[in-house]
Amino acid sequence: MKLDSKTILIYVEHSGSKVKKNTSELITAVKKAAPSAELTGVLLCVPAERAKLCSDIEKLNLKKVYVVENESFSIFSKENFASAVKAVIEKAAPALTVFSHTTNSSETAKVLASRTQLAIICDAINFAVYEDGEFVAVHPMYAGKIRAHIKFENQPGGIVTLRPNVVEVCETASGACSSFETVPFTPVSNDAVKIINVIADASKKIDLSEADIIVAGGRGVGSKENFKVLEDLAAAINGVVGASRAAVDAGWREHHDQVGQTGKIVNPKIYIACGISGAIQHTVGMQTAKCIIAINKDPEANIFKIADYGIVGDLFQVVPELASELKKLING
Amino acid sequence: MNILVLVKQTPDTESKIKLNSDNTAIETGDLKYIINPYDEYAIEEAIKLSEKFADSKVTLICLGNAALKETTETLRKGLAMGASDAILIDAAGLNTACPYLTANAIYQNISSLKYDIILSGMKAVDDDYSCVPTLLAGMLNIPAVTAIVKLTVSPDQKTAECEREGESGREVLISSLPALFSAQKGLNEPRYPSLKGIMAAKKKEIANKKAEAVSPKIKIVKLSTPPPRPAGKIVKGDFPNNVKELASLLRSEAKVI
Amino acid sequence: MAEKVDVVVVGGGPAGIACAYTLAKAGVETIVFERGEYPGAKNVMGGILFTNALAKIIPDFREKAPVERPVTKRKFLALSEKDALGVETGFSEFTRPPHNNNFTVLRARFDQWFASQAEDAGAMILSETVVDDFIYDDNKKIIGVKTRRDDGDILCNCVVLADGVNSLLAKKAGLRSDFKPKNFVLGVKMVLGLPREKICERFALESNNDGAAYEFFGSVTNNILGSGFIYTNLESISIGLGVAVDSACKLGLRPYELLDKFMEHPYVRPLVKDAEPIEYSAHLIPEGGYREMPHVFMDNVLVCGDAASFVNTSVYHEGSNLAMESGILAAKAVMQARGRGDYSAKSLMKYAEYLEESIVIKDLKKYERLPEFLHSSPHLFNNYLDLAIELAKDYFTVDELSKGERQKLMFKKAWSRVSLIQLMSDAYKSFRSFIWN
Ligand SMILES: Cc1cc2nc3c(=O)[nH]c(=O)nc-3n(C[C@H](O)[C@H](O)[C@H](O)COP(=O)(O)OP(=O)(O)OC[C@H]3O[C@@H](n4cnc5c(N)ncnc54)[C@H](O)[C@@H]3O)c2cc1C
Ligand SMILES: Cc1cc2nc3c(=O)[nH]c(=O)nc-3n(C[C@H](O)[C@H](O)[C@H](O)COP(=O)(O)OP(=O)(O)OC[C@H]3O[C@@H](n4cnc5c(N)ncnc54)[C@H](O)[C@@H]3O)c2cc1C
Ligand SMILES: Nc1ncnc2c1ncn2[C@@H]1O[C@H](COP(=O)(O)O)[C@@H](O)[C@H]1O
Repeated sequence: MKLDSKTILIYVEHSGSKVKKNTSELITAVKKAAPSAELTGVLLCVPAERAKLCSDIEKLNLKKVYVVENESFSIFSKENFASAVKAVIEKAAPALTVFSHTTNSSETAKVLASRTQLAIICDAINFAVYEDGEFVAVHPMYAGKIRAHIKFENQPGGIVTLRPNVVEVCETASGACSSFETVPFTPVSNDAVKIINVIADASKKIDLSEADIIVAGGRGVGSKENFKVLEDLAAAINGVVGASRAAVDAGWREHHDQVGQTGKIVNPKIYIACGISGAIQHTVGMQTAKCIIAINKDPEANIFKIADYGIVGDLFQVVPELASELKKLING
Repeated sequence: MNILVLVKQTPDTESKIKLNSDNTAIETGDLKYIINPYDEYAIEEAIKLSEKFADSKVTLICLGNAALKETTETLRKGLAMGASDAILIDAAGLNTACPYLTANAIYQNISSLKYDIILSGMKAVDDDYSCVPTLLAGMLNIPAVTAIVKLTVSPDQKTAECEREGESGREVLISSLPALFSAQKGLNEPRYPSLKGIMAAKKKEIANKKAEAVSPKIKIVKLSTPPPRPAGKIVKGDFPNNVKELASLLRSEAKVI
Repeated sequence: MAEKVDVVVVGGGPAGIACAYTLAKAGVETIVFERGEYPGAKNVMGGILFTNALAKIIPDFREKAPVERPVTKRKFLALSEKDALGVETGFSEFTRPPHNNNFTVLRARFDQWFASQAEDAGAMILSETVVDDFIYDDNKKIIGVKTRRDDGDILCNCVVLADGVNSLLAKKAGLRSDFKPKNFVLGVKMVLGLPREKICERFALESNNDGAAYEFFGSVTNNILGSGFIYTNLESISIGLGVAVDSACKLGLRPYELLDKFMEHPYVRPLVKDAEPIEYSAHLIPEGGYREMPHVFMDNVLVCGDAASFVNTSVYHEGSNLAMESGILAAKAVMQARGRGDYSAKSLMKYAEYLEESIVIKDLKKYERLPEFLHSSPHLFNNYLDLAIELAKDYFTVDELSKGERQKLMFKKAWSRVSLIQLMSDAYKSFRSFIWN
């Protein structure tokens, strides 16, 4: 599928009041691959949020934004969200629809693919356009050991989800967005599946896969209580705490804190691995972090092979000291 | 209750993956295969359900290379855990690099079967697409709940309550049946098959099926290996000087703080 | 009630698989239990397979089996700290099939293939299953085994123990006494990936259908009893060494450190340069020889392979071959016993007779004196090797001295290091142990 001067639809992700950073990542990635394509956006929101979000979108340099507003969007439902995007696709007929590969957006994208018969490439880390003009998405496979360069085959259009945090956002020259178009929409009521409750986890401030800074602990941390040391460091540098499977299996952390192959794939700016040996199943989940710091008392630990900086030492000594040093730096 | 479980065989996650000479596929000669780890959770959950509801049947469905002995080995592992039947759909001639095609080939072979629940893994650790379950559910026109960590089927077997990690917390959902659920880690602990189970599984027939090829929607142009991470440095010096040094490196050199 | 099969084989190594293959081919219901993830997963071997026994049961193995390279070239080298001295063979006949029945193999690959042959023949092979103990009847007779799985008991008419070097089951059955360190060599080994062309280049091999086997003595093991090796596979080399467990313990040697040092030796370094480590492993080798063999049969039980200490300690390092041979013979004895419907010790004694007539016991007997001689003569690995290297170096050194003067100095050096009596005694004992006995 060739992209040149075609329309590309960007799914605008937001937190209700603000457009999320990963939306800018999508724009950056698409712009880089297809500079002459026309970028449009799709925004789903409740009516009350529209004004705030639209003014936030102005900065994004999208040619046109399709807005679907509906009260039903206050609760996430992948079927409902997908059918709203579907309505926009029918109108805009984009060559490509791009989502961020976050929990909800990727679910929406997959349902959309199954409803529209459009092809989907999930969890890309980069886009490219080949010499022949073909659009290609790069998707890690085999736990990150291999990268597949994938193109759409015999397709008028396609859907791609882009892993958050892997694309460095460039500040685009703001060519203020000119037009918004409201697309009418009747929500689909999904009787088959109903969310009956959401148990919010008070300790979970930011989702790991979107965190900029992660302080992760492994078996070396030794107990549930000992994780306090890591929480203190995380608090000092505005990070969140993650864990290896060993720590999760021991019951010291929740499943959703697990980083790695059977946990979350994360791409933070800083990943501090404390008392983690660096098993392949763990490292595939964090090896794309921009800066990896390893603290381990075993100088032979595998984690040092992929770390940018390592300290050989006892984490119970090193981590509190690091917290106080970094706090000093941050507070000037 | 009739339960279908989608199982895929994947290279052992510890395997070294090597590319072939023209970078279009991986070398499979020396690969050691396992059941996709997420599918093991799906099998375990299915067997647990079958133990709970009388007259249940657990059928494993695998689209794979029938010429490869490891494919049947994978299914036998599932049978040894306690599944009742296994269907192997031969992937020969199909472009399984396309999740749509995989889902379609499975769809062709199960749409006429009786089922109350389909269980699958959340993703396959080889292609890491995590798309097949949703696409398949779309074709079957049944609801799909992905990445569940808990599943309870109502006594009348008409609905199921399940839990999954959503963005804003743990979501509790109720789905009508039939439905598809994909398994996330945390759903259960897969059992270690008993000797009796293994011996019985060795004697079971595996049904061989085929699927009509349809045209793929995506195509892998080439494969590459990621650039290696440059070797990092161990910050030398005694505690606490090394930590002080690290902190200043993070600011001055890495520029991340 | 536990299920029952005809024969249980414990261990999916060359011995166990050869036995199961032979039994299954004859239609005997056989089940093999293997502790490892798959047959070969836990096996360590330098990597030369002598294929006579294999050819008996699978004559066309050369076309089918995943062998790496035939061994067409051998080198024996004495190493001192920095120098090397060696002899090399290059028999052109060995470059043609059947290649002197010598092939390098990677066990993980070969054992899996061998096991699949047995499976195709009808044997059941259950991996990831450890056999922990026997099941006895009221008369204390062994009637089955207990595996470490739920519902893990299984009954059988006969148990073949092919569980390798530290066969706890042979000990449990009362067939062998406690393990003595002096009967074991500890082997450590690495597989290093190297492109085919590089292998041919470095080992001067004409094609990928040629292979080299280098054996090293002397400083490679810190001059204690043992040796080092490098064998060429198709796209990798196996490098390792074995040291006598007792001396290694006494001197506090760590085999993996020796291996590191070995790879840094000036002679070895260019051979392994830039090779990519693929796998590291360590394993014991039973080198007690004929004199330390356990009992190999009792009521309802046979022992074969390493579990029975069937390893030829000489320069041949043969283990896999004798393992297969003994496995085949065990199967034959079991089949006979089955015909008679009698698995008592008396009936299974046929196994011992077969062994006596075979290469297994003949070879072990031939080298009967070797283990003891080597253990009692640590100086062999020290004095002679270093001296030989020094003398050779002197001989080839080019400088101001005339040839006559130099050789005089060499003799002086030699006799200052060993006495004539000592030399003659060692020569005699070596002769008796290695060649004529
Ligand atoms: C199919 C499969 C999927 C898997 N998925 C995952 C996954 O998603 N995520 C994951 O993490 N793992 C996963 N694993 C498990 C993985 O293989 C490892 O077992 C696990 O990552 C090990 O966790 P760890 O590093 O915390 O523990 P260990 O390997 O035990 O390492 C603990 C480390 O702590 C160090 N240490 C101890 N005390 C201290 C101290 N006081 N100060 C400093 N250092 C100390 C030790 O030197 C050691 O290096 C998976 C395994 C399989 C088979
Ligand atoms: C470093 C090294 C180099 C060598 N080089 C050579 C060489 O070049 N050529 C050669 O011919 N020989 C060589 N040998 C010797 C050779 O490896 C052995 O003699 C041969 O493997 C013996 O075969 P086996 O079947 O008796 O035992 P093994 O190959 O050891 O097989 C025994 C099997 O039993 C399994 N097992 C053990 N206990 C249990 C249990 N309780 N329940 C279930 N399964 C169990 C083990 O996992 C193993 O797979 C070498 C050995 C070493 C260590
Ligand atoms: N070839 C296949 N055969 C059977 N099930 C499959 C196959 N491919 C994928 N699946 C199922 O779909 C899940 C997600 O796979 P994927 O979309 O490839 O990541 C897996 O965990 C399996 O349960």
